Amino acid sequence: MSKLFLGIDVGSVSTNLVLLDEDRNVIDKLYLRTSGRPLQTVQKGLARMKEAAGGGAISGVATTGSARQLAGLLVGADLIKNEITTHAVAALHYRPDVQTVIEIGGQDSKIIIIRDGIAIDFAMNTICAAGTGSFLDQQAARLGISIEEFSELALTADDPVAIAGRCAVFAESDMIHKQQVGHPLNNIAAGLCEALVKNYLNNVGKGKEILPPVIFQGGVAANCGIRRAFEKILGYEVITPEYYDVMGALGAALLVRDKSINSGAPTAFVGWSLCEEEISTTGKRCHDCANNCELAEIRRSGKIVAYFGDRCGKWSQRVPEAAATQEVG
Amino acid sequence: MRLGIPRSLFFFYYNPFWTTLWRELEVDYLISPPTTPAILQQGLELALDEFCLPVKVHYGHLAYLEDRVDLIFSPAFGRWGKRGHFCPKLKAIHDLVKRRFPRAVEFWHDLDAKEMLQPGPWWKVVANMVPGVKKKKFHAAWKEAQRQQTAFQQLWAAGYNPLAAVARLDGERPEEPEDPSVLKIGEPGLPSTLKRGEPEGPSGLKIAVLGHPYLVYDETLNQQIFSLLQGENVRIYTKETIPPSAQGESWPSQRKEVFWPLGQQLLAAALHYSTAERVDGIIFLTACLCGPDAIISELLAKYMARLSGMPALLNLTLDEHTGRAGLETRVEAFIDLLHWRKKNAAV
Amino acid sequence: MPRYKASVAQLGTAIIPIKSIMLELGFDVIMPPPVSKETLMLGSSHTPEFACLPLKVNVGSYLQILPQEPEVIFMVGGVGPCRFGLYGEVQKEILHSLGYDLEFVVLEPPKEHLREVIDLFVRFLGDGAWRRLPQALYIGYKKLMAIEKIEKKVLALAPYLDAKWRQQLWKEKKAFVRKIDYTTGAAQVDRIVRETVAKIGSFPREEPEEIFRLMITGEFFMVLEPGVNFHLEEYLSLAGIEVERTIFFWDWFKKAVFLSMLRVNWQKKYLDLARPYLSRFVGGHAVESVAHTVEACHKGYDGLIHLAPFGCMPEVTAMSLIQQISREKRFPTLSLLLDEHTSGTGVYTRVEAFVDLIKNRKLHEGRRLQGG
Repeated sequence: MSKLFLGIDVGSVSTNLVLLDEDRNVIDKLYLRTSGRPLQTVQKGLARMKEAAGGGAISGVATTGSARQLAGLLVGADLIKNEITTHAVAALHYRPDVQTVIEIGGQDSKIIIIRDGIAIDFAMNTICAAGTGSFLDQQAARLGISIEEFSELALTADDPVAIAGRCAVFAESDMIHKQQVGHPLNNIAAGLCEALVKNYLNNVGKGKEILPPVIFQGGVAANCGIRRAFEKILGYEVITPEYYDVMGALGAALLVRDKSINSGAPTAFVGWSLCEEEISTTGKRCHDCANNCELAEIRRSGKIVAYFGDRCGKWSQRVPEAAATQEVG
Repeated sequence: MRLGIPRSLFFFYYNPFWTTLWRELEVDYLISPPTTPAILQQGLELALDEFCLPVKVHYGHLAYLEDRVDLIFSPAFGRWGKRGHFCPKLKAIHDLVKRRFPRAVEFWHDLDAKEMLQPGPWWKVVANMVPGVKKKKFHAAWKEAQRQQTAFQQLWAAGYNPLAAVARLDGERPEEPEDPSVLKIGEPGLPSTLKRGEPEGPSGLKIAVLGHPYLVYDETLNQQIFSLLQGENVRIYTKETIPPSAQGESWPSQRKEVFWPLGQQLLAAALHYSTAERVDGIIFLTACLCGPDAIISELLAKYMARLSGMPALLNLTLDEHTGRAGLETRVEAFIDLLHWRKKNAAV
Repeated sequence: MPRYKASVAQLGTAIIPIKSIMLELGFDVIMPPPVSKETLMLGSSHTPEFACLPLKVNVGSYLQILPQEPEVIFMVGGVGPCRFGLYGEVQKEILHSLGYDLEFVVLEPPKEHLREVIDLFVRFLGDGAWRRLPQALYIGYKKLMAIEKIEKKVLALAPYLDAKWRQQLWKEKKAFVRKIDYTTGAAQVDRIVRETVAKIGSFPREEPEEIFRLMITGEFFMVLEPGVNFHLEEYLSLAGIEVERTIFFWDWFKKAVFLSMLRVNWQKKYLDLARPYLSRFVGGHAVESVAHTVEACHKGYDGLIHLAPFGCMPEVTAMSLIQQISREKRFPTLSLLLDEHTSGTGVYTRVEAFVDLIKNRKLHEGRRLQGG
């Protein structure tokens, strides 16, 4: 039986899991809302993956996303990797000749420039969430339609209106104005798509040489209106891969697959039993020095398994196996 | 050969000098039009997102000129007098744009201890740029340009703000370049009505609109705040129209002179309009991400808060997202507040 | 003569020698607490939104120590065109509006201010303090030299240790800084340095297959103060990267004070390097940041990290040019503009990805060269 590998991407908006076999085939994938409870969401996702794996053993697990350290401590990750690298890896797996990766998620967006199969430059949004999925969600809600309807609607536009402003607040007031003036909804929706794309290109994509093939991934890649706006402004075809919404998790799984097969080392994965256990996190402050670190104490079935968030390592190193996974780079 | 002059940054202060010099040298020139939404948009696309609004707009003006002229007059700004400096971005502005705009030729504005521009360094550039130009002719042109600039600045003290002063000077000028695409300054500009001494209505308010000239006199960036105020029957004062004697004054609690001369001048103007020629309100226009503005507006608010009987202060931060509606709301509310204050004071 | 209570603006480990000097001179010294979220929150709620982070940190720190009633606060200043030169004035006004009138002694390039500084000195310390000045400066100098020597050694040694020993190395470094802080004698300083050098010299070294070298440059405060740069230097060093920090307090002090007083044109070296991109001094450390980028590229570094406060005028100027150099020379750079909204998660994600990027690039190039 083929070895199985697990990639887990825990972001502020969504938590995604990918189960991969030895030959890099995706056995199953899952997209869940994080809803402010990252560890419980991971647990939920694992239960589904356990089913997909038929309860079979996992040979390697990797975590990525903004909560990668925390999630890594919980599941016993063999590899903890930042989401920029995992997104690049997944895009390269899908299209080895990719030159540009556009990734727009719920809270952040990035661009990765790749040449000859090597990432040479990247950028992430700096100023606010306006170039991201949250912006679109908000505006769709404003227009009183679902994000899926919004996407459909944008495609039917014949004359997208110009909407000013990268900032959600300003764009909103401009949009209301355009509505009052009587522009049809589809042109407004398409206008918002173009505003988002322009803001993305002015902030995240500024000064980057965007060359085809361009891969568009992340939760927002499902939005055909945005994809069309990118194609219109860039003048290139923009490709959305099959697993566009779980590319971070896919990249993590691909990386841990290679690592595990190369090293032959056994996995640190804590096992499927994690699904049945009760997991809790308690926030507390350490006042032992003036740093006053905010600590997270993670318990599995009542037993402390990890600490997280201390600067000096005094707490996190109390749990030896947890410290070992804190590998950088 | 045709030269492009960007209508941005210190154009609003130096334009008689700049345009006279090239006219006297018989160099055909094109001034970019007053900032349009398209120029602003181009600037946003080209400049680093972290730059301040006026610098972004400058990129837009250069982009406008790029395909229309052979060379671009690219001003950069260094020292100002003994201890003054322009801000770091304006010092480096040519270095920032030169790769993107290969047609840009740097003209370095370094004002000596007497706050005068020296012709020497400019001559070196002009000699390379204008085929067959004689040094004598350059110096004559320089002299005439300085004369025009002096006349321009003398009008400020007489109550003409820079736009109004240029309009007035233009009236006196015998000839304009024949190129019809050269736009006249002050068009579409109104501010000839902004002279001091205009009649004041019964409900008239006096408001000083203070800020860097590239905000105060750029109608796209300031969302036509002048016409908005005039519609409310407000008499407007600006930084330039204070008497020369008031320019050296500083606030009672001020310990250190601001080393950006325009910043110090803005503080002095605010002091003048708070005391000697007291207005009802001061509107301080600041540009989003302008470093000096963030500090000067804070200092001004704090200096004013230490004293009693000061005019009301409204701080308006302008950025590329500022909509006319948002600005109107704030300005109208401010005017209401001034009326209430006036009424209460009268009671 | 009563002892006055004095404090000083936060500045990484460079604050330790400054504290020593003040103690020797006869002040009661109140140390600002390490920069924390609370510092940033306090600072940003009382400073203009678009002021830069160093000002916010300063104001936050002062508000944190106000309950201990300091009477005078020392800080370095400037004469423009960077905003730093007006911090003293702004801080005075902000604290006044909150009801505190503190004395700020702003140490600026001593042209016309020398007289003022002397007056203050006499006022706070009495005439006799002059006799203590040489000893105070000497111990301060010794401590500064000691700290910077060990910091450089630690950064150079880290890539040759394994992950466990790197942890040990940084633990040792922190213990060393604490010991230097507590000690009062010049002879003890030498002893502590000797012991630390011997100890870290005994750590088992290994020859790594590949060494990755990163340069860190940018704005003075952001580079020196780990509390605002998310301990970047330590983070990279623990990851086994060879870090070259371009800013050290003594080096800056030497140039900005001594060489400037002697009218030595120390900036020329930097201007020559930066010239194709930036032709003049524009304030702050912009020229240095651009020059270091060119230098890092020439000297075969694998990348450069540029640290700056969000909205910093000189460094944003530099950033635009650094991106240009990066594009033209295909040299990896990462600019991090930080403010009170920046999260550690966001910074580490970018830094980790950047480290991945330079590693992959180097290994790939190595393969390509081998493959002919």
